[in-house]
Amino acid sequence: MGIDWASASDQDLWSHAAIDGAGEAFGELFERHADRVYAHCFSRTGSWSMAEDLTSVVFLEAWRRRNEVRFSGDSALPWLLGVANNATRNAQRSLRRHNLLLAKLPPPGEEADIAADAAARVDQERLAEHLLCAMAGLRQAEQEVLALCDWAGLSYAEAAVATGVPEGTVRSRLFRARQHLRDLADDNQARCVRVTRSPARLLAGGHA
Amino acid sequence: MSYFHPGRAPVLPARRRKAARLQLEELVRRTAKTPRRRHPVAVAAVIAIALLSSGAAAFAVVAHQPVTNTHLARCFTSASVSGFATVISAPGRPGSVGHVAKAHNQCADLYRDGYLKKGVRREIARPAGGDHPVPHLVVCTWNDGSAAVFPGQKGTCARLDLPAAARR
Repeated sequence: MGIDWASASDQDLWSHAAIDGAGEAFGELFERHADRVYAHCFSRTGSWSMAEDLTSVVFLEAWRRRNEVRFSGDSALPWLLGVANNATRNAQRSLRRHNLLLAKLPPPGEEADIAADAAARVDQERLAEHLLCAMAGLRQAEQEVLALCDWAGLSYAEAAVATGVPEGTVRSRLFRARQHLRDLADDNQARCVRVTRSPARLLAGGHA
Repeated sequence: MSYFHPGRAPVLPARRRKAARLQLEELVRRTAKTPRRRHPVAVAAVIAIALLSSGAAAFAVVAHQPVTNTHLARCFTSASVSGFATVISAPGRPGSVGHVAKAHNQCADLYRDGYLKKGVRREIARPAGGDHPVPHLVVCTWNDGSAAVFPGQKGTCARLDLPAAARR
């Protein structure tokens, strides 16, 4: 008799995958959380194409670190978003170093399967660029907690699992992050309004 | 509160979703712990074979997968899936959608020309002239079916939980 993976809890799925080697169980976990991870990666990078790559990286990393998983209630999502934070941090480091060089490259072609909602996606990339620019003045830890709580919609307890710090620290970081964002508002208004290039365009180029 | 409008939450494109799921499921089947209930004699036999064999190669799980997406390829500068990578497409036309026939050779060219250097997490804008060192490169298959070229040796793909690119 087959197992009904769709109704299994995250913890059950994780156990079946890690102990029994049930690929379908991990596949179900991926189906369950891929979109939230994708959205979080997008909100941290401002690039749909980069978010696609990072979503895969997050689940590969999650599998590699499968013995370190922590559940919030029954959900693996907060921990997965914590893995996503690490993955995006590494990716952004490379991007920051190469913005000037990569900005000289022409933009990549359109992808056929996003043509229908291309305008909305471009709008979202622009908005994300603006928000990321505005957040650039915050400390990394503040950016992450802001993205987890205010963008991904995690509770304080879930964000604590994602970041590996106590819930009280999450609360204070979030308070400081919002405060700093308000303090930077005037500066950001002038600095970020003219951002035009997206990391998506920056990443997809190459040399030959 | 969420950054996205509830009705317009982003959805991972179907092509990537399917490919990534299949790859993850295969990875789990290959690399999860073996079931704990094993007959002691069978375990002893496996250990004996291992001791008598020439080394760890006896245990190596060889998994190959053909490169099916030649629109692009990734050239990594370290043996890490989260390390720095340059995405290449059509030779001579950076950023365009093209056809990467021989990812290994094209990445080797980037190393040889000095744009990439093993262990350096960036591209080198103005490399010095002449030939630069090219590390030993291995080609793995990324989850979207494209080639991912890493500095490394045989076994690097398995260590990264990626299938090695099958020769065509």
